[in-house]
Amino acid sequence: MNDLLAILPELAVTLTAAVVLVVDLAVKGPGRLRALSLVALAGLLVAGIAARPGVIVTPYTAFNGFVVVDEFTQFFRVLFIVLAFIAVLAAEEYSARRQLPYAELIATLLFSTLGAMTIALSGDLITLFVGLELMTIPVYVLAGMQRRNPFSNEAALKYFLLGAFSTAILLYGFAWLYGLTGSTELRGIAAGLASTGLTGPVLVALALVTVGLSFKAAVVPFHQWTPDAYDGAPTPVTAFMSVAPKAAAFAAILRLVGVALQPLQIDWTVAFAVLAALTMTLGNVVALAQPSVKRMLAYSSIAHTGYIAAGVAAAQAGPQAWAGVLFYAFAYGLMNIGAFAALMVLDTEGTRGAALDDLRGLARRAPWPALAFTVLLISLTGLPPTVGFWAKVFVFLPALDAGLGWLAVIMALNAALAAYYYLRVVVYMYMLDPEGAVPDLAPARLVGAAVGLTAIASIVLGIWTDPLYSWAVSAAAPILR
Amino acid sequence: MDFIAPLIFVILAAIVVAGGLAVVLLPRITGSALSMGLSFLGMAGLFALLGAETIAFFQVLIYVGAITVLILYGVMLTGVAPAGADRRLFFQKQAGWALVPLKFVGVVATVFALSFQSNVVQQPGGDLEPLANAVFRDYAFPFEVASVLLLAAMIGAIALVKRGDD
Repeated sequence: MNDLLAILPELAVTLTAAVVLVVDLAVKGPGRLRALSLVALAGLLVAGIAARPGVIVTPYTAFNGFVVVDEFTQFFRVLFIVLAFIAVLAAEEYSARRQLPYAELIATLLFSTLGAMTIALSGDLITLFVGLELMTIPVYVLAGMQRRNPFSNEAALKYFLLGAFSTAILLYGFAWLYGLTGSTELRGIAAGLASTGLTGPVLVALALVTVGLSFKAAVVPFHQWTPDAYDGAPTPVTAFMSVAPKAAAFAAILRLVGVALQPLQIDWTVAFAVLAALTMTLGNVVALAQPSVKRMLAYSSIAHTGYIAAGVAAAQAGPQAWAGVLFYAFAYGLMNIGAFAALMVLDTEGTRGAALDDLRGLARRAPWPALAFTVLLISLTGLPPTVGFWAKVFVFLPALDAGLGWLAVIMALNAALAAYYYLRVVVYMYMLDPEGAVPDLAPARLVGAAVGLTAIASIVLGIWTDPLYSWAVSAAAPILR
Repeated sequence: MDFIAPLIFVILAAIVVAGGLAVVLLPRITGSALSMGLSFLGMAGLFALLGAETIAFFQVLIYVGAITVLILYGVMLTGVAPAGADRRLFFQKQAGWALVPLKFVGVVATVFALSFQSNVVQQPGGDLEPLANAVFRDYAFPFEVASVLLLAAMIGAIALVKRGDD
């Protein structure tokens, strides 16, 4: 019974997905989509209550060590549930316009969320792997849900092929780890590696695992699938897949590096720092040249991956480095899903994500969404008083403490680059007039709610930062022994 | 006798690799599907060599049997491109000739691999009971997550192919 209590939020999400499919059969007529949304949102709310911070007094394991429930688990559970909540809010009107199979879309989204949550709670490579698959396979489907759209097909196929490829590499690395240590449990691997030390085969395993997880997190040079997959997928799906799988990949990296590989005492600093610098620079430079805002956001999400990786690189600075990683992952999730949702306000038949020119004069046509989008863009840029500013600070300071002065300089330069292309969108919305006839904006109350919620959260967490940060600190504690 | 197991391993591994190559290189999809069956058969032999008869059995039953046949059915139902000019590369005919004896060797090797493991102590009731214990007790959590994964994949597949109103 204790075992089932340990996975209460996961059970709630699974049940919600099942109920969504049944409600889809039972309810007919015009209220069907709204009923499905309400069921999904209610289920996620229940899951969120079950995973609320402060429930876990002492960390414990369940299911023979396959499940680890600690503050780290709770942090990511809440993050994924919040992201799924916003994604469901943003998906309904878009799906209705594009006639996507809504019940299947929601159920698949919930299954993917469940997979991400499973990664967060895994105390074993087997759980980690099935969780990873449960997270990514539904996203392949989600990316291709707009079947008649060739870009959606391209997105699904590219994501599927490279995703399957990277999964194979990762699994091969796991097999090496198991072969070397005789255990799939993370602590068992740690014990095994403590006795073998850093040998050649261990390096092979580490290389395979690092490459596999870098693919999932879209770290340069393993990012090639990202722009087309994000750009072609239906926008609500892009919003979700740009945040949840990335955060989950970093959850997996932290668990592996912090628990399983901890006895090796390797200096990750240089490797991760170089990857981080490459990732943020390439993402930002290419984002500068994008005429489509959706594609710009896709490239900028690569740049944000670089910032998160910089936090991982700064591990030597002490516990606050990984607390910074967690904080950045949370903040990035909120800001980015909100920014993609803001694009859906503009969604009209025949456009494929907003071109920069479509945004001209948006502030006059839709003042509130434009304001919320501006807040989110400012937060993504990293200007105060938003949560994005603090996220940058919390990875910037540990980087300095860890002696990575050059990385800190690159981070600052990149923030300036990012300011150019993020704030250019604001200029288009507020200072330029539309050219020619503009299509009417589709009614988008739920999308508006999603954008508004994330924008308000960006400001509230930017001013009242401490609760989230101290939660991130306590969540990073179990993986720093 | 120590050299026999490595020898069988090399033969089986060669079959697996040759089958995999043939999947990629053969011009006809039916040939690729059958080569994949051959590759799976070699894998079953490898499992048998490791003393995992249950897995070898499932490998033959599910992969060699069900999945290969499923793919052949898929090819049959979707229609194959009409047989036109001979577009085979110069070595493919020879490869075909080489593969037939290889397959025969594979079958023989599988039989041998199974018989060489007969000295492994068998538990009463076979190894099904430990399997059940592993799947439903020790590894219950990942097993259940995997079943949710299959459900999700099924729903996703239906969502992608069902004829809707679009």
